[in-house]
Amino acid sequence: MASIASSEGDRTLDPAMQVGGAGVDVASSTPLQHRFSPYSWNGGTVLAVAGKDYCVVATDKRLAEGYSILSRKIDRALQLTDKTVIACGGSHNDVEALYNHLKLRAVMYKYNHEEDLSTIGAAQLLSNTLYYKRFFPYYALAVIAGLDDDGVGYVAGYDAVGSYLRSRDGYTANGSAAAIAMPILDNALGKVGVSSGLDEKPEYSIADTIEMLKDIFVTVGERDILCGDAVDIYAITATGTEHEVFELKAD
Amino acid sequence: MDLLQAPPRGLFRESHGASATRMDMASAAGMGHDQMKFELPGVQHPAEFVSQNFSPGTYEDNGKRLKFSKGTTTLAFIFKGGVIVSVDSRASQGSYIGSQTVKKVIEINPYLLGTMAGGAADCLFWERNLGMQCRMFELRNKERISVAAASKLLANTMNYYKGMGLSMGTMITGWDKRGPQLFYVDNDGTRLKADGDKPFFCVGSGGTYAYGVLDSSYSFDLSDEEAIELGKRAIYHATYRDAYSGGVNNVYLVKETGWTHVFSGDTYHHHDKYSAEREAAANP
Amino acid sequence: MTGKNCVAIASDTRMGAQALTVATNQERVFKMNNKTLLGLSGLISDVYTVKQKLDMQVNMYKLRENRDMKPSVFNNMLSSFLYARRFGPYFIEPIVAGLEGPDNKPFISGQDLLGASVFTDDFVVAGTSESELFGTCESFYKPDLEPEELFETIAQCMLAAVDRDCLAGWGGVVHILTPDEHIVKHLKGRHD
Repeated sequence: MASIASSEGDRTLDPAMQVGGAGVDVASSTPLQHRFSPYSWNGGTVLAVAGKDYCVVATDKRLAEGYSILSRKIDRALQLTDKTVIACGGSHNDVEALYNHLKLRAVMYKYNHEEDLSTIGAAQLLSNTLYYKRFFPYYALAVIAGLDDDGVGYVAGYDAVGSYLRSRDGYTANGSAAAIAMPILDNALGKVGVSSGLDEKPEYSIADTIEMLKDIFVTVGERDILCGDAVDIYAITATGTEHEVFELKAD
Repeated sequence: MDLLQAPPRGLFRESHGASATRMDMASAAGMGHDQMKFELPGVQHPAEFVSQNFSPGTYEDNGKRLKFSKGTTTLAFIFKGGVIVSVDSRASQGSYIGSQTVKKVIEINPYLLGTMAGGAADCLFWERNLGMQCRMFELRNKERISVAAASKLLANTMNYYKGMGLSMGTMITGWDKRGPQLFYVDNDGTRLKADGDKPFFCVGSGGTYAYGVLDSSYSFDLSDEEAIELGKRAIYHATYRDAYSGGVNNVYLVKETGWTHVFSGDTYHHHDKYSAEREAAANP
Repeated sequence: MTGKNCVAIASDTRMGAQALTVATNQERVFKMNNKTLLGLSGLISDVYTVKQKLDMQVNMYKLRENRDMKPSVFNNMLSSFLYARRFGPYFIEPIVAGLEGPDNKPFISGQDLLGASVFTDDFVVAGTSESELFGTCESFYKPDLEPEELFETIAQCMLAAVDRDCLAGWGGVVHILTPDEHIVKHLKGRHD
């Protein structure tokens, strides 16, 4: 239907403007408007699962715009501290700007307090950072993943203006394919609230969790055109963070 | 975190030029806004900017994305035993359910509760901010802030940002020198006190259904157990009829000694109970 | 969804007007003949209208030809039926599932409201929970399932998907079609 209704293009081809020159036919020409659209939608899907003593976050490496692929190997995740990783879908310019700000704040925090920013602290910092742009938001759909002060996996999802929530079931999805991936996670892991499937859900090991996230990304890659190419997987444990890249279909 | 490292006032004013007047107004009102800086887009109508670029319906291919978690049912009522606050837990982004386990009752301090409806981020941020203001009041005045004053602080904030596109419908409730108190505050700056013979509010898309239950069953003389049950029932019926409400029902009871979280249960199990009751009533 | 010599259609049972849930026992899957199931999502008045008009076509075909309409033929008939209303369409998204020919080969197809067909050999989805269903079906589906396994799979796909959609749920129903049986099973779902 897009080819039939092109509203933007009509204005420059307005016959009154073409023949009579600008502003001659005042009554029939629409006022000139400038729209400020600083956002693009570059896709990006983020999945994160928390366990008793680990946390895994996975995000795809495709940078897309419309039907074009701009890059197949961008980094959507930010390793903020040893125990915290943030990953965002959305407008990649905003995501980069947000990351630069957060990196600075994390360093400042370390100098001021002589310790790393905790995951819970980083979660609140991210929320406030997003909310302080309430009237000019960062277009970043964020997920924070890490270990809390007790070493338990921590996962929270955000909206563009900083509403966040620690997932009670220990998993979350955000970005372009969240609606596709989330019911799969619900079925495998959901205990509270979303009660589909069995009530008794097994505890997965970190290796199984990584396998499951790979499987889900293969599934999502089949159905979401913005998702594909490869996945960055960060596995966070008390001993540190391991990073791996998992190849997806590049179609 | 900002509070500890806020720049000196002079510096702050310098870097914010035109917006300084607005900020001065805020700090004169004692609202603590001088710590804050909200960047505005360089357009003529900043409020319209957000609604143009971000829509509540998410996962649409027009490039617009989620902004608000909109659907909600929250209710609160005063009765002889105190105040009951009962809420659902769904956060929807368009028709997609973003979360089914949201805590929509915000524990401002041990004597004050706020509820969330409208923009999740707006509620979360400003009620956290309200918590800070209430604590500042306590430290300055060596006594707890009254619910009326606390709700007024929030209403003032909402009035200050009126027309900027904030979205918030909240109930502030607690117990102070004047007994159990309940106020409704929203993003227009409206502030209403619950009193009279029907001292309750329901806020959110499922609120009309909850009102139906409360209107027919409410009485001031309910016992604690009956009041909790009424809160549960009203939320169940709202989640049943309203597509944008659901998940877990949380019930709080406010007493002179502060609030307690008296119930948390999946509405999935409520359905079994209430539909069995309905059948039993139909076939005695 | 297809199985081994069987097909199944699952649907939720909510009927609502925007946020308001009007009924929770809405049937929207119909048996058109012994080898064809039809699922219709969308505006409920159009669902009924289309269903009745198609019933007439199917019956007329049987009277004229003295045989049942094959699922693929039914699909084509439905497609041209919908395209006839190209500029005033019925607001529905149909799914056809059936068993084709003497060896009962599974047939499934989906269409948009103008009658553009899509044929697959695993699953098709339609309606408000479309993207959620794509995720669950893509993940849970296996080829050549027996009817019982197919029921379990399609039921889990449906329940997990509608639990993430505000506008669907309130129970579900699964229709399974085998060469000699039409089984209907109701699912208990969340009522919020």
